[in-house]
Amino acid sequence: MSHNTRDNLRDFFNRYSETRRLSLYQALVKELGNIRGQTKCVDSTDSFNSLKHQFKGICRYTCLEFDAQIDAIMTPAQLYSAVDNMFGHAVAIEDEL
Amino acid sequence: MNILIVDDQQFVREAIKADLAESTFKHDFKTFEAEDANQGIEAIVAAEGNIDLLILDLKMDNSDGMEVINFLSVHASYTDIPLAVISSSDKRTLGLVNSIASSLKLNVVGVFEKPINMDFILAETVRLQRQNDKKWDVESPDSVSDYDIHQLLDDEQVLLCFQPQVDMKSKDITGFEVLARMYDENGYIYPDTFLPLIDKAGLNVDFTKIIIAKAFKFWAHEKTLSSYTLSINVTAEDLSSDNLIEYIIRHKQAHANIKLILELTESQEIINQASVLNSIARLIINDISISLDDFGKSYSTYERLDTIPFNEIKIDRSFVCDIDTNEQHHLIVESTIALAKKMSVSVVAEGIETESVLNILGELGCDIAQGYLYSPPIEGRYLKAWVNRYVHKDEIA
Repeated sequence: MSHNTRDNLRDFFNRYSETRRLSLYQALVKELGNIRGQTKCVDSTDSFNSLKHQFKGICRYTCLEFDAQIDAIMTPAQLYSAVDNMFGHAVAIEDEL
Repeated sequence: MNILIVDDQQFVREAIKADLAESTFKHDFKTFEAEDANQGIEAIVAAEGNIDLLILDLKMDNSDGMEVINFLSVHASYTDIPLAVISSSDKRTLGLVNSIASSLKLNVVGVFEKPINMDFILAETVRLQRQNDKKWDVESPDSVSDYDIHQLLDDEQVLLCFQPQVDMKSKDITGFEVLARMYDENGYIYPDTFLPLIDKAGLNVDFTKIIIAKAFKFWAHEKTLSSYTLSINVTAEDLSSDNLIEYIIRHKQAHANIKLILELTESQEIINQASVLNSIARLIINDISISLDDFGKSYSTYERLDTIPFNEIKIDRSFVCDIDTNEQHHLIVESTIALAKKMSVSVVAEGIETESVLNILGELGCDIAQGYLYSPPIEGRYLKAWVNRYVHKDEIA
């Protein structure tokens, strides 16, 4: 997740018109927040894998194409850390959109 | 045009809607959303099947796309709905789902990895519907007039796609071939439609200039791509234009780090003209590699190999795509590769769609592979993401 996450997020949002950016941004932050929150109370392998799959989908869309690194996430704590990291970058670029 | 998006992730649904809004297709899109299979089925029923495209996520929270696929398959009135399955799952899973959906006689547009290329899916949907002779009030590309071509070129309504080329031994990406699409308010216009019109209008050189300018601009901007070759198609007629040759050389000199390969199609008879040979010499002197495209299609192929110092030959796809079942084609490809080896010329095989064909080409000593097995042409804005995914695909978890 260290591959210029913030730059890639900027690139992603810059592809769209200003009006679209806001709704996309809000959806991204909301979804990352949800995944992060649910990761805290994961109670089964299935729910962990489901959250990881959702995070993978977001990473692909935002051009953070590191499937192998996401596949390497083996524990809820690791997933929380990765999601939290991306959430932090997303929040940091809010004023630029 | 009614589009139903069934995906459990709101962000993905928003991204698809944003892509539709930015699409080169200027339809009036009306989107409906569902966040699981049940909601999706309810939406299909509520719309009485009046859906022009169903975009269906395969793996959703608490449900999966197979539920919707099975529902469509047992309700005859819904089997015609164009279906695009999308997922972040691995390719083998996607391939399996494609087989299942096709065997159920559904109207499958395709099975696509996320992030999807919405323009490509729309273009495929239009193509499929035309094939099925169904609805979609879209202007036929055949009706694109000469005036339209002039206008499209004036407006530079040209979109570049890039198809990867992969080293047969190391499996590393070596470069990309630029493939142009034109577009109007109805979406993509494919080369088999616009190239004859450009040719008829005498606009070949103008068109090639637009491609050169756009490709160089893109490659110069995307620094991470600079290590890959950039292959651009030119015709022998292009090489008759001193103005174009100057134009290409100027671009190359301004971007010395870009590894440009010009793929020379061999269908024209003027290639042996002194002016053309002179142009080729100038290009080579300026560190521009020449590739002989569509090798084997023309009777004069071997004469050209003798006359011009090509760096690379590309075996025509018509010989490659079935070498696992066509003995004659196997022999032709085998001989071509052997000849190229003796001449120290690199061989690219295009049109590779199956592992079986890839394995045979590997055994024959082919150098570089290109084809849908690796990827269809990728729109520029998705290229960096594709490269990242390909480069990191083998990292151990």
